[in-house]
This record gives sequence, C-alpha cells and structure tokens, in this order.
Amino acid sequence: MVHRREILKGAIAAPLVASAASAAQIEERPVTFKPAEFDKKKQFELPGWAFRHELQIPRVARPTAVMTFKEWYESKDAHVFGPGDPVRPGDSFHGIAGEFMSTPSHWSKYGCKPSVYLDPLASWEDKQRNFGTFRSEILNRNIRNWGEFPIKFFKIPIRETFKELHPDAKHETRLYSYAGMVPGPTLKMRLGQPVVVRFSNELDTETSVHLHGGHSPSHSDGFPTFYILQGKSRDYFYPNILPLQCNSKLDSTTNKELVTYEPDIREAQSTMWYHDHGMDATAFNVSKGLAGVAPCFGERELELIRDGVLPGLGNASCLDPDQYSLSKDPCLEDPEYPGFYAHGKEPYHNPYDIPLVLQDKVIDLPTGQIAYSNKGHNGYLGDTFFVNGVAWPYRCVENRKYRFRLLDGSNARVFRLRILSEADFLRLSENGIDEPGEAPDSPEAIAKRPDKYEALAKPFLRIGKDSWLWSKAVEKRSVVLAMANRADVVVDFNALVGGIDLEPGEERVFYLVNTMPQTDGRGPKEKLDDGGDPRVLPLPFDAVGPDGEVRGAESHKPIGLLKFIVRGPKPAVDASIKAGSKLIDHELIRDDEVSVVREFIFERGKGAWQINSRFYDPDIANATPTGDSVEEWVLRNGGGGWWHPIHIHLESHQLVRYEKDFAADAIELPRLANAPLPPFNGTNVTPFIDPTEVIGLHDTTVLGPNTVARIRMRFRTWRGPFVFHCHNLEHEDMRMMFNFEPVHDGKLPSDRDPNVVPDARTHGRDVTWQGIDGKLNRYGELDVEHPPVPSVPVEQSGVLMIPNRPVPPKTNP
Amino acid sequence: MTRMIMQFFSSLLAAEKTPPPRLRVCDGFANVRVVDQFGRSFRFRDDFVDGRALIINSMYTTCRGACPTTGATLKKLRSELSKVFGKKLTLLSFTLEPEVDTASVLHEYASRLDANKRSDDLCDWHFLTGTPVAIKELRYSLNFYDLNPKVDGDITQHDATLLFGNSTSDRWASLPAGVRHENLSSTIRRVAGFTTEQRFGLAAEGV
Repeated sequence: MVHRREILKGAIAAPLVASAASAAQIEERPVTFKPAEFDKKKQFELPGWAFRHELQIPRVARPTAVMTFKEWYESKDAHVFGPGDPVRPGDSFHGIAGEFMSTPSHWSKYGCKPSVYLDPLASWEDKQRNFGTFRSEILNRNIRNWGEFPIKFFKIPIRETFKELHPDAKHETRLYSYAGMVPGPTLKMRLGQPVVVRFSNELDTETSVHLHGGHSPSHSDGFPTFYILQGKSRDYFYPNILPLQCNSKLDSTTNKELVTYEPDIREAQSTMWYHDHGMDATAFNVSKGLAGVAPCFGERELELIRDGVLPGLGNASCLDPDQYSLSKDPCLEDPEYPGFYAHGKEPYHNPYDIPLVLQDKVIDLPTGQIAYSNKGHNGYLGDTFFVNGVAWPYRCVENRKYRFRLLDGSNARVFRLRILSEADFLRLSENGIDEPGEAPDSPEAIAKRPDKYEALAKPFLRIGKDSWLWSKAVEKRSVVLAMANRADVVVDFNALVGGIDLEPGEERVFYLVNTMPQTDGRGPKEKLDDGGDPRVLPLPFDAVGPDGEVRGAESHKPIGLLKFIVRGPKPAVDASIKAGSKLIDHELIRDDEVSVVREFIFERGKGAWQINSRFYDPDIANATPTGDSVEEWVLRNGGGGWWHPIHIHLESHQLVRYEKDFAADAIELPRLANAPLPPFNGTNVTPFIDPTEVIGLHDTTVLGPNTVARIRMRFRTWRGPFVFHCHNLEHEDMRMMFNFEPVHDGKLPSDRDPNVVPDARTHGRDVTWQGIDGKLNRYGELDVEHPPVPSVPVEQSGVLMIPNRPVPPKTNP
Repeated sequence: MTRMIMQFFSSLLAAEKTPPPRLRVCDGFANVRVVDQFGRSFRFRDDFVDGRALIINSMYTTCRGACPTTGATLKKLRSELSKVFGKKLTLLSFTLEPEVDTASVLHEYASRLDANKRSDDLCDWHFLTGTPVAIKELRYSLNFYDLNPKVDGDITQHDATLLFGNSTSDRWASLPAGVRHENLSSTIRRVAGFTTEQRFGLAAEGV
C-alpha cells in the first residue's frame, strides 16, 4: 500500500528528475529545423489508428480531509492537506480568501456581524446562520446555503508530466498537469459543501487557477495576477454557495420597504471546469494541459437524477461516501492511484454522465511534443483532435440514454457538433456532402450544406449551456460550441438504433463529428481556401431563420472526433427525460431592474487586442458596478472577421438581444487601426435563437463577426477584482481583457476616481488572509510577490489618469 | 535526513525511461541569416536565442507611426532592465523594409537611440536587416503578421508589439508597446527573468 505521503514526495521529486536528465541531453538541432505547424488539410484526415484507443474518463480526486470548520479550527494538528503537509489552510504562501476566515463589512446587509472577524469560528457560524437556506428534496429538509456540509480539503500539485499523446510520435509528450493528469482530476462538488483546494505550483511558470462558471471570492477566482508563484501554494476557497438575491417589497401595514435576501436557486451550477488563468501565458499553459472539469451538484439536479429524469443510477447517483467525514473504507481508493477514487466509488457515481473535453493540438511527431505557436496572436489551432486527452478515441456505450457534458477546452477552435451514423460518416468522410458535380466551395453548394447535414444528423436533447441547466430539455441536431462554452446534452442511443434490443455480438456505431469549417484562429468561415478574405458568415448559435437563411456554414467533410459503439439490450427502465421536460426555471431579468448600461467594443489594433481602444491593465478597474445591481452590457465585435467568446467572471449573464449586421459581412476591406467604427445596421436575430437558450444562463457569450450582444447580469456577494475577457486564449493573453470591481459598501468617497478602485490596484492586498499575527488578522500578499505599488504621477500615466495613491496598510485596523 | 536522500535517489532510479526531448517555442524562430547595424552577420536562432532573455520588435527607419514611440520605450527599457539582467538581455529590432534599411541606415537610426556603440552598462541592442525573403520568414516565425493580406501588406499597419521571453524557461509573451510603462517593465521582468530576483525582486530601484 503506497502512502499518500510518498505520492506527494514523488510529485516533488518528478520535476527534478526531468530537469536533471534533460540538461544532460541538449539536442543539436539542424540549422533548418522547423517544428510542425498547423496543417488545415490534415484536420480532415484520420490516421489509421483513429478510434482504436478507448476514451478515458478523468479520475475523481479524493479529498485529503473532510471536516467541519470547527473541527479543523480547534484541532491544532489536523493535517487537512494530507499527513505530509503540516501547513494549515491560510498559512500557505499565497494565503486563503479573507472571506474564509472573516466577514467583509458589506455582508452586514445579509445580517452578518462583521465585528466578529477576529474570531474565525464565530464568523463562520455567523455566515452559516445568515446566508439563508433552501429546500433539499433529497434530504427532505431545508439545508443551509453556507457550510451545510463539512468542508472538503484537496491538495493538487501543478507539475510537468509525460504522456503518450500520439501513437505515431517518437517520444512521449511533455505536459503541464494538475496532479499528473491531462485533463486534470475531476473535482466533484456539491452546493452547500465548501471546498478548499491547495494548488501547489511545481512548474517553472506562474499559474493562477480559475474555476470557470463558479461564484467564488476574488482571491480564489484566478484573477490573472493573483498568481501561484513557482514553488508556492495558494489555498483556493470555493464556498459553493448560491448568491443571495435581494428582494424588496412594501410592507402594507407599516408602509416601509422590506428588504430580504434569499438564495437564488436558479443560479445552481452544474458543469464547471477549471483551467489556468495566469497573466500573459494562459494560452500556452492551457494548450500544454492545464484544464479539468468540476461538476457541481445542486439539490434540484440531484432530485432529477434520483427520480430518473436525468440518466443515472437513481438514488445511488446522489450519494457521496465522503460527504460528512473521510470514509475509512479501504476500497474507495484505487490502490494504483492513491488519492483518487476507484472507478465506481466516486461521489455521485454515474456511469451514464460523461464529461467530454474537446481540444485540438499540433503534435510535432519527431519530438512527440506539442508544437505551440500563437499564430500571429490570432489563436492556436490544432489538426489533431483530443477528447479527454486521447486522440480520436472510441467509447462503448449501453443501448440507452447518456448525459454528455461537452466542453470546448481548446484555445481558438469553434465546434459545430453533430452525431452521424457510421454509414453516413464514412460516406461523407470519403465523398463530402456536396454533390459530385458541384464546384467545390461554390456559394450554391455551401448554402445547401446545413440542410443536408440537418437531415442526416441524429437528434439528441440539449439540457444546458455553460454551468447551468436550462428550463427545459430541447431537441437539437447540432450544437455550436465556442471556446470555454459547455453544452449539456442527453443522447438516447436506444432511439438512435431504432428502439430495438441488440443481440450479443451485434453493435451499432455512431460518430460525434465537427462540421464547423475553420482554418485559422480568427474563427469559422465558409470557404477553406479564401486567401485571407475576412468575410465570415456563420452565426454563433443554432439559429434557424424563417427561410433558413441565417443558419451557419458547415464544412464539405465532417471531422470525426469520437466513435460510440452501442451494444446490448435496451434497458428495462431508462431515464424519463424527453423534449420539454422541466429542469430549472429561469426568468428574464426585467427592464426596470437595469440600472446601468455599459458598452464594450472588442477590436484589434496594432497587432494586439483591445477593449474600448485600451489594453488590459491589471492594476485598474474598468467598471465598478454597484453590488446587487443589474447592469446591461452591450458587447460589440469591432470587426475584422474575428470571433470573440466573451467570458465574464463572477456571475452568470442572460442574453437579451443578439444583432448581426449581415451587410457588413460582405464588406471585404479591413478596418484600419484608429479608423472610426463603421455604423452598425444590425438585424435582430434573437427570434431565430431557441428561446430556451436565450432565457438560460451563460458565462461565455460568443461574438461572431459584425455582431452586438446585449446581456444582463447581477453583481452579488463578492468584492472584486474580477475580469472579463475574450476566451480565445491568445486574444486574452494579448490584453483583450478588462477588470470589474463590484462596489458593495455604498457610494465611493467623493475624492476617488470612480473608474479606479484601490482594491484592484493593490493586487488583492485586502482579499487575502495570511494568518493571525499576534491579535490582528494579517491581510495581503507577501512583498516579494508584489513589490509596493509604484507611485505614478498623473502626468506620466497617459490616458489612464491614475491618481497617485498611498500604499494601503498591510493589516486591518 | 538520510531517509530523505535515499528516497530522492530511489525516485531517480524509478524513472526508468529517459524523459522526452523538449520542443521549445523558440525552436520555431526562423534561423535566417541577418545583419546588424555594425554589419555583423548572424544566424537568428543559433546566435541570439540560447541562454538569453530577448525583447524583439519590428520597425522600419522611416516609420512615422508607432516606431518612434516604441523606440523610445525600448531605450528606456534597455537602461532600466540592463541593471536587472546585465548582459543576459538582448534587444532585437528587425526592419520591415530591408530594401531601404541597410546596415548603415540602421546604424544611423541606432545612433538616435544610443545604440550605435558598445556600452559596458547597457545590454546589446541589435538592429537587424537581411534579404526580404529572410525577413519575411523571420517575421512570420515570430508572429509579427496579420492574417489579412491587405493589412499585412501595408507597412504602416505593422505590429507595435514586443515579443519577450527567455529560451531557458521557454516562456514567451507579447505585449503592445503602448501599455503603461510600469506594467510593461514588470511583465518583461516576470516573463523573461531567469531568477526570482530578476522576476520579482526589488534589485533595480527606480524601475
């Protein structure tokens, strides 16, 4: 039996081994050496070994400890991050979120007592009392929003690992990994169960971990400069709470306004994922493997699983062996992989709920390494397609319904996913979808493709987008998935095989394919060889107009991604979900709730990316929304033919209106830097988008070319800073990012520039808790990480006009 | 202690296979023949990349758009970062108009930025020219290009970005030269620095 301590030691030793050996073998490269580059033709060619490797399901990480706040706080020697790590939560180099140990002043509106901040235990219990409760049908009682279940502690090293990615490659591939796995270990969470993850960075690069789609404190949200430095750790606190929704109504007897805060159950997350968010290097780090999935289970979702609406094992899929304390059962862990659950033993075990992380990479076969290039800052595309870290895998499935959580984890690839039968896939891979006589890529042929694909593609149910379930299941035949978007779908393989039992030895085969034509980082386009023509026509939604005219473009040949082999008899009882099944109710934010409208224009300038003609500056806040308010943001694509998936941290947003200027698509001339933005003659295409998708929640809304999206969102619970940015990772690294800083404490002092908030300028000095020094809570990051904020005289600060401001004190008064 | 050392060596033995080779981002930089402002000839990847921190930009001497500002920024960065990096840092400015910008033209241009003679206090700053084919290959391999041929062909629309990093850690990033100077300077130190002191230290007061 290998002890977890050995594993952690091994983890620390591994990079040393790597660097020692590689220093010994410095390879001479020939003068003409050139790494592999993206080959647009190769993306349609499958190697002979395609679909011969089985799809891997990422292992589920087991917590190192499960205990209540009181238990670990009162025990001085509780090694919650495993026996080998005596460092208590918050005592790591980068500390833990201040909200873990104390109560920020603005939570007094929830009824919390900020005065108890010197007593972390009293503060925790105060938050438990005041963050509300919600109904659990599973437990048949009301449960607390904050800390109903004990805290789960995890420790995940971020380190280099080697893995065979491509059978034709001469060597294994060097990857960056969470805990040695690509994709990273699955973190299964539950609403009401706080999680603390100690990510320790053993790479020679700064990292920052973002839980994408979560509602987490700023310290733990992966703000780009809230690093985990080389050789250091940061304790990420994921409280897994529902935001509190402010309701005010007039009391009829006293004629006074009554303000109450209730957990917003519509906001219950489902499919989250985590990935690197380090400043300037996110694209490189994610392409090297830093991404993993983190599903969260809310009460309504568990109820749907228990009642057999969503695929699963009924009540058995609603159980967690380590829910209240770390189980002593020796069978829970895989003896070969200590620290991970054995298959079938993980919390909320569900063989019919499978995450699929889609990625594309370029593999340099002679070296076996990932050949990374930011491709002119447009975006890194690959010609080798991976699902869960395996190139072109297959998966044997039962003759029944499955839930797949699809994630586009690539840097710049937009997918249009469809399911084709084996016969159709093989025929189209050979001959393509155009008629034999048709001119290749002729407008007539292109116009006919979507209808032809739609007729061939197999139907499935879409049940959610991004982190959230939709209000009802909707039948679809395709899914458009931009970078960072998730699609939650249910595929009924029994319906696809015609509702029959398959005899032993009999099988049916289906393929998950991508039909989105794309040859560079700008985004999809109709023609593969258009000589750089910036016109890009498809719409980034599954939109169907009255005449089908706004449907997106599709490629001549499909790109195969994953092969499903269906076997066995049909099940006696299958999940009951069907088109129209009710999931989680959503309602549109009303017009009268909106208090502020802001516009953000995403454009290219001087070889880099800008928002509102500015480059990202991590030290300033570009928007300071009032806490609990609703804002409407107008996101405009500044042109040039690029696609920009805009991801906003902290909260979900709703799509209100999506407009596209079709005439502008036909204008070939590029807009030159500093030229005025042309007038926008948008057509409202919102009616063509499925209303369930419009009313559902989003965390990433893709801006196709010549489009304007109007979104609405709330700013609840946490102080900033948070970021919003383009999720084409190369664009993000090239500064297509802005900060926003929710302001909860009422009005800003009159002498303060409302566009610059001190919190954002100080790299989170006051969001990080660093233990108790004598009788005071220590806040802030250590000086070695963030040298004192430079004093910038206004004359030198250019257009940004940052007023000079003293460095804030390190300790709270 | 002895046990720890034993564990370390046993973990060394446990790694049976030799680790896979590295493929660095900078291995993709074109290894073309270039000439600097003093007329010296170099192979770009062989002579500039290994073991050094680099700041690379594109320019042309008659540029009236971004280049004068970028040049001033680089001059300032050179004097600031030389204190941090010493001679480990090299600035490379390659011309986009190699037909016009010969070595002597570049020498004249470099003199305006105090880069026309060797200095003990300042790191090297090479202004590079070459054949148009070589320069184009270099430009594409360093990602100083636009996908739109009209923008790419228009020299006045050229990238005003700096590419920086070092080949040892193989961390490379690009930033517009127009970001706030303190931000630019600290980012270059963090990404291109070899040591913690270079990356985050306070060694160079006044930086």
